Amino acid sequence: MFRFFSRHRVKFISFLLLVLPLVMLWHHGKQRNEATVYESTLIRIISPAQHGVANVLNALRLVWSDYIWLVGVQQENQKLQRHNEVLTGMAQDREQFKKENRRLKRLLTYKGERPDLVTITARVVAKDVSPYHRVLKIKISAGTEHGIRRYQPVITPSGVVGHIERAVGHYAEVKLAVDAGSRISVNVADREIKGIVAGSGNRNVFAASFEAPDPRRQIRPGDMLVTNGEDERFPKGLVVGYIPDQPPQPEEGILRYVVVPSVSFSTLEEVLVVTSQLERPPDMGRLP
Amino acid sequence: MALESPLLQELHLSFFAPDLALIVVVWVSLNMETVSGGVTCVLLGFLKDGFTMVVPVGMHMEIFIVIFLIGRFFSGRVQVRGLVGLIVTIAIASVLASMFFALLSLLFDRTFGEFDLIVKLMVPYAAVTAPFAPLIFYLLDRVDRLFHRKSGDSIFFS
Repeated sequence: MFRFFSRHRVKFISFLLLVLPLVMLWHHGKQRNEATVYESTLIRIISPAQHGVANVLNALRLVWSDYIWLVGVQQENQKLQRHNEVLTGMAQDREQFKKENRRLKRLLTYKGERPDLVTITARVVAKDVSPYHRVLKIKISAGTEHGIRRYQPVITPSGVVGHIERAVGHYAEVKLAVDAGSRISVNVADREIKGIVAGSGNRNVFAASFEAPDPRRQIRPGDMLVTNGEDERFPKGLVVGYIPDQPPQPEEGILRYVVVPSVSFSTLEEVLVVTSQLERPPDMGRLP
Repeated sequence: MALESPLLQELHLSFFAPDLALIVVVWVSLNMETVSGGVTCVLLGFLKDGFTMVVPVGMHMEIFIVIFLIGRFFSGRVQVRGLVGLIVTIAIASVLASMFFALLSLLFDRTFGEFDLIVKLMVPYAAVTAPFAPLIFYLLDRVDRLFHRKSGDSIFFS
């Protein structure tokens, strides 16, 4: 038997090698849901090799595409830069529109809060700026053509800006409340103290002073100054400024306090010009 | 074989994969003994089945052992000489392998139903595989020469 096998060894082994795959094929060719031992072994052997090769190829591809094959990258970069500039511009425009929308909404709300004031909304078209970046004078996009006259008050929801100094055609110049020569009759809010806010005319800082004729009445830091309408120029109840935490200066029998304006002149974009004041304001009703 | 699949996929040439293992089988049939060569081919087929994934295990084992035995049968009768002869031999082996693939799929793989595709791709597949034969034969001869003294029967070394 052994001699027979030994003599036909090659034929036996060849036969076995032919039959073994057929048995495996028959076994694996049937429809099954689970992997067989052979399949599991194959997957365990082969998957790490394929994974490793895929990783190496991926790394080579990245080196090739990111460091060697850079044809057209410059043009693409320029194209993307142009695209980026356009998008940045659009984003900035959008931001500007958002801010403008917020400001106009605030103006609209303020108009609703003061129905007694007949106002014209105007855009700030120019600012006369000092070397210290202080705004000395502003020009607005409303003039005599729109019914703007000299001395009419210019305000924002934050408070008093100043008054019209000169109006021509479609434009007008505004004298700021902090300019020299500007005098506004005010009350200290919620207290029976009257006084005058006078512009300091300082070219370097926005500042005005409050002249309190009665030195016995003490003014406190944080006190708000509002117009009382007695100068017959500014309507009653408009905020002019605040008293900071600084000691007053005695001067010719009066006390002079520093006043911080309520309006930020350097960031002004839109203003309201008060053209007249109604005795009996119309009933605006409730906004929805 | 580990390189073949990801490399061809990377180059978008998955449909034009040459069957390098088949060339190795033909080389083995011309250069190794029946027992050791047969075992080598069955193991090679086992690995090929693993990398191919979609075919049942045993498919390439059977194809390779059959091609190997046919190669052994003819190796004593016909001599492969020259590059063209080698390329033609591999092309014939490839066509035969595809025919066996179709036959075994018909017999054992119940899910298989793409005979038209096999018939269509049989010749292109052989045309893609055959040109690689000189390279693979050259490399295998070089490797074989490192370990054995050549008998002077190689296409590339004499």
